[in-house]
Amino acid sequence: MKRWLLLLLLLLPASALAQGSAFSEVRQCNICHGKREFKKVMPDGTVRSLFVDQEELAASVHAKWACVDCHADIRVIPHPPRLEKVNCQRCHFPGNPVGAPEEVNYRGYEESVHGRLHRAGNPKAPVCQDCHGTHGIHKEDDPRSRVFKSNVPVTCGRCHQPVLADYARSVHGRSLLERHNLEAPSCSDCHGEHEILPPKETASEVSATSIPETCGRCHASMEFNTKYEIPINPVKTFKHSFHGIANELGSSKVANCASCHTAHLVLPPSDPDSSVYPANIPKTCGKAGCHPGANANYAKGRFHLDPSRRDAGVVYWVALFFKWLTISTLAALGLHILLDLVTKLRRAKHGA
Amino acid sequence: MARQRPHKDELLERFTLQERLQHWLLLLSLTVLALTGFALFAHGTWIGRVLLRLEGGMAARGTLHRIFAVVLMVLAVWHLGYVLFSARGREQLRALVFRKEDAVAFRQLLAYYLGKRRELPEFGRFTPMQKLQYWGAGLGSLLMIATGLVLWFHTKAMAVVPKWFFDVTNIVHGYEGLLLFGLLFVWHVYIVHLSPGHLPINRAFWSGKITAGELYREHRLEYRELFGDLPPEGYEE
Repeated sequence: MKRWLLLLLLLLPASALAQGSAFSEVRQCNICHGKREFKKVMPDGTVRSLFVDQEELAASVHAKWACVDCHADIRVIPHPPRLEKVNCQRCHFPGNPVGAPEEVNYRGYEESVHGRLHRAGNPKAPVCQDCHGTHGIHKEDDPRSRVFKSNVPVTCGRCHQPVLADYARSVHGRSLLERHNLEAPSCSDCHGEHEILPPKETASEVSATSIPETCGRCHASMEFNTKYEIPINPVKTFKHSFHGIANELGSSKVANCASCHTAHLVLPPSDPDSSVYPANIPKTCGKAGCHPGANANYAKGRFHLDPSRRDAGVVYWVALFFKWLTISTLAALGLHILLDLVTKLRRAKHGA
Repeated sequence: MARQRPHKDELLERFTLQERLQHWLLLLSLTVLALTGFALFAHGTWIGRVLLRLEGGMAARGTLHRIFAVVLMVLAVWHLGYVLFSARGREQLRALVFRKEDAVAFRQLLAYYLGKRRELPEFGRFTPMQKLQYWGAGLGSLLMIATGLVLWFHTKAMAVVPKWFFDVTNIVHGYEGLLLFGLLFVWHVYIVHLSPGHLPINRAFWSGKITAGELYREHRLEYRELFGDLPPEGYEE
């Protein structure tokens, strides 16, 4: 029992036991870091602010911790100029005694594209604080959080700038960023959070063969589509098309949702900037060697066609005609077989 | 000039070797085309998945379908040449044309089925059902070839035709395939092989020969043209 207690004491950050000292510690650090003008000139000539906003820290989920609980390599003040990067896993590990949130999906980071780059020593690879922030960390459902749904695009966009530019113009981006519609997807709704994989890998949520299901999480529901004025079920009709069938059977060459609609600059077909605006269809179908020489013919007809619906036009009528031709022919043939069989069996019985 | 009256078991040649070869090639190509086509049509069902696995996956299925489509096209050219440019072929084609007698015979057949007529109607070389099978299979195959080519060479085809035409082609190819399957693999197979009297297999499709008794019973007009009014020796109703 005594040994357990000792172990617990060792695991607990010092300040958890002595809140009073935490306060004085912050004061000490504040002598320098509390000044807005406290800056440092980096070797490459850029100026880096070393100011720590106490109000921001006090409002964060980490308000109760002392500076040295995270910046654990500081033993003396003034501290050496180069400090280690804060390691969040000091607290955020499974079964940690301080109650720091630990979810299974954190571990997905290690094998994610970001985690792999980080392990390979790429200095640009993001670690926890690049997305979650440093001193101003909030819970993900707190609008102040950098990983709050409508803040995610800007957070990811710090590195993925061209993607953010496309996304912000798209139906999804405008809905989330301008209209604050939390039903609209942010980056992580399609790409995942910690476990993001490159699109070329089959297991990725945005790989060629996963895309229909990923988009289908919203667009497979007609209730959802109707709400956003999409007149036809785009996922169901895709799955019945050549593209959809080949995609389902594992072809990564065939067109998936993003091939035609683009990944990030998704715009309605009525928008002249849209990749599926009629005038842009030839270019879209003809790209990447899919349908070389695609011309205006490609736009003359409906996409996401459902032949059983009146709005399919001539295709509906031809399908209806052939449907009944097939049904009536097969019924007539079946009737003939039945008549022939019954007659021959009856005659055979009478003859015997 | 009537030939000498045959015995009921005497074998008479109904289809020449060339005609039988054409039939075999048609049977082979349509069977593979139906199986590979149906695998795509029913890809979401268990039977579709089984077929797809047997056919070596989606890509192999497509290649197989196209190879036997070429076989069917070669056959179509051969057959058209045969029925247009050979004396025997032209004779067969003439015998396959629908005539007024076919409507009469068909009405009589219906009366026979409904018990209002004791005797089977008298058919010529080809019964109305056989004519329907021939024209259904022939025109159906031509339609399948035409629509299939549009689907196969869609990139080239779409340079000329609008998308809705392509969509229509797709629909027609699917339904026409189903129609052909019903016509040949169900109806034709029943009439020729499975119906009482022919079960389990009619050897004519292999040997090309039927007995004089069968000819008298099922193609009486043709028999009379060849041998006169008397039934074959030893023939009993």
